[in-house]
Amino acid sequence: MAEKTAAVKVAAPAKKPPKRRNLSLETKKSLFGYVFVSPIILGLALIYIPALIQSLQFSFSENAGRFGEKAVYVGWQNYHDALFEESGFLQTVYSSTVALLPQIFVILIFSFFMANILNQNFRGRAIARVIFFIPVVLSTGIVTYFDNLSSMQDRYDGGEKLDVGVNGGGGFNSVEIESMVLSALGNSGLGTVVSGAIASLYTVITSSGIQMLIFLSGLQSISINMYEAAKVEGATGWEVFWKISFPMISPLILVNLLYTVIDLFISVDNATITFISKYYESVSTYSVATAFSWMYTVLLLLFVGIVYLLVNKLIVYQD
Amino acid sequence: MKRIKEFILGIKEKLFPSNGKKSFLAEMRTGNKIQREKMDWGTWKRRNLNLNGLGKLIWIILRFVIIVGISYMILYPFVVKFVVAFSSTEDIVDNTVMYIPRQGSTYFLERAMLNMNYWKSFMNTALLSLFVSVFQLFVASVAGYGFARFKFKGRDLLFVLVLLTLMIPAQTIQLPLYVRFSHFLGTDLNLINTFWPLVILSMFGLGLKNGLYIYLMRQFFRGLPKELENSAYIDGAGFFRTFISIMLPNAANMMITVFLFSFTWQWTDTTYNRMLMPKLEILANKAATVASSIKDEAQQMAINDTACLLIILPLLIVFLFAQRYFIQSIERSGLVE
Repeated sequence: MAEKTAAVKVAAPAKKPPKRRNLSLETKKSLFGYVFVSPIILGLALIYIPALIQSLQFSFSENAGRFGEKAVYVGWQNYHDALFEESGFLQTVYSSTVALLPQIFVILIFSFFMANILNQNFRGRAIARVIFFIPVVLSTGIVTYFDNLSSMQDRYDGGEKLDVGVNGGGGFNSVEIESMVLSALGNSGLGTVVSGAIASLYTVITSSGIQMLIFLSGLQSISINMYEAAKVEGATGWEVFWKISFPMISPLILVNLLYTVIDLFISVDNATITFISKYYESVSTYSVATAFSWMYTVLLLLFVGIVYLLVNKLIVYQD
Repeated sequence: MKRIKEFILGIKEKLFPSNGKKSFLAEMRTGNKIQREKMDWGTWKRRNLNLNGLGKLIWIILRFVIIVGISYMILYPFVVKFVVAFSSTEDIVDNTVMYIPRQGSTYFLERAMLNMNYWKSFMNTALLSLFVSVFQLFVASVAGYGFARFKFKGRDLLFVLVLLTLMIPAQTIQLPLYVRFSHFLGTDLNLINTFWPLVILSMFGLGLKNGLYIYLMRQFFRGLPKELENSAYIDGAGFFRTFISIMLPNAANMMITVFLFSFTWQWTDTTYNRMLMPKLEILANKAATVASSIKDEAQQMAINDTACLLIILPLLIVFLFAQRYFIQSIERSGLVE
């Protein structure tokens, strides 16, 4: 159908004789490719890459960022200062990373699960979809900032009338559930992971929107023929899920894993990012701040690279 | 009500049949007993894991509980903020007041609006978000199409670079960006605390989360059937014409989605605002100090809640208007073979 309408649409301009060009279609296509991505090429070449290089220069020089003054090369001095004079960088990176690791997996599993639910047919699905995607658009930036402040909601939840376990930080703060899990699973290993996951359920809900979206559109794009064939062959819902749905969207698991890692590690309320931003607030620590951010960037890219290489092997690629 | 009655009667009929049939449970028991010896793993799986009958019922109930529970967790903070915004200073310290303010006032609303210079900040934020998201959308659709449908040298490398812009924390290039925009093109022109830095960055696909939008558009265009364009080419349409009159209309829903993200994320963004326009009168900047002049702790909280509500209410309205296209954009990708 779509092809037909497309053909009809273009039929009118087609009456003109095609212009004669000496270029082959291949060359022409590749040229137009450059035209289409030209904003990106310009942006990278004129702004982004020079800025990256300059930032790297700053991290090796003394008076970073003061316009007009020539940067004085001081070698690894800033990095040395960052690691040994200023305290707490590596600890911050370590503790914030360790705290985020369980969250990554919970977000992935949660968004996958919810995408599957939202993909099923049930009454009120449209409303559920709308509600579930509210956090995608609303729980970012300044709202996160407000979430971290104390809110009147704390008082509401402290009241006798309602024991819902949601608190104003927006965080799920039901002490009872947490301690129940802890006592059931032990205070180490799995118990800590599960109770930590429960404690951050609200954060998980609000930060798995994009992942849910990517999974859901992946599920939607699986050809219905496959399901029908499976049905004819007598496959159960369970088999259909593991033999069709799961392998078909497994490339998206990698995408979502990487997106989750990046989203959590460079978000404004990440402890390390806050730590680095603090150093940018004073002119005297600019150079150290760039050193900090480069160390963090390298660590982050290494981490992302390792995750990519490890998980990429487990993925089923169709084409 | 009628439905629920029927539903309950249906279950009752299954458990305690009226017309002398074996009950549902008894049937299950004997059915299993007879087949027990013959049953291999495949049959067992089919019998027990295919979510028929009772299993299906349990799943439907469980699903309902999950959906309602999570919806509640998402919506509850909004309800509380809404209530707080219309409470009076007495209501918020009165422990017997819950959900419905006893006296009610617009004190906190007025105070928050005053402290944020609301209408001016609102207009500025709306204009900035509009400019930024229009440019981001333009770049994302054009570049996304370029990445999806054209083969050219260095394409993959370029795409990796786009993803790198998404991965590298903005803080890493904070200082060079500041230097560039405080002395624009090496002159004394200072663009800090104006719209220009973010607009310029968005024009070149370097705005907030721009890499993600390019990725989303690329994925979408890749999913469209190739025949769509091929027929246009055969009819003699050029690349731009095909893009504008064939591809873009097909991508309308996805474009609205990207626009929605870009608009709302820019609206609430603090990263770039703090770096490049810390003194501009926009909501995200004003919000941080909205309660700083207030001494009383309870009132501080109430003002913060109200300010948060005032910031996200316009977005909620935008979202409710756009959600239809947004949801369709998820479903439309089902058009892939």
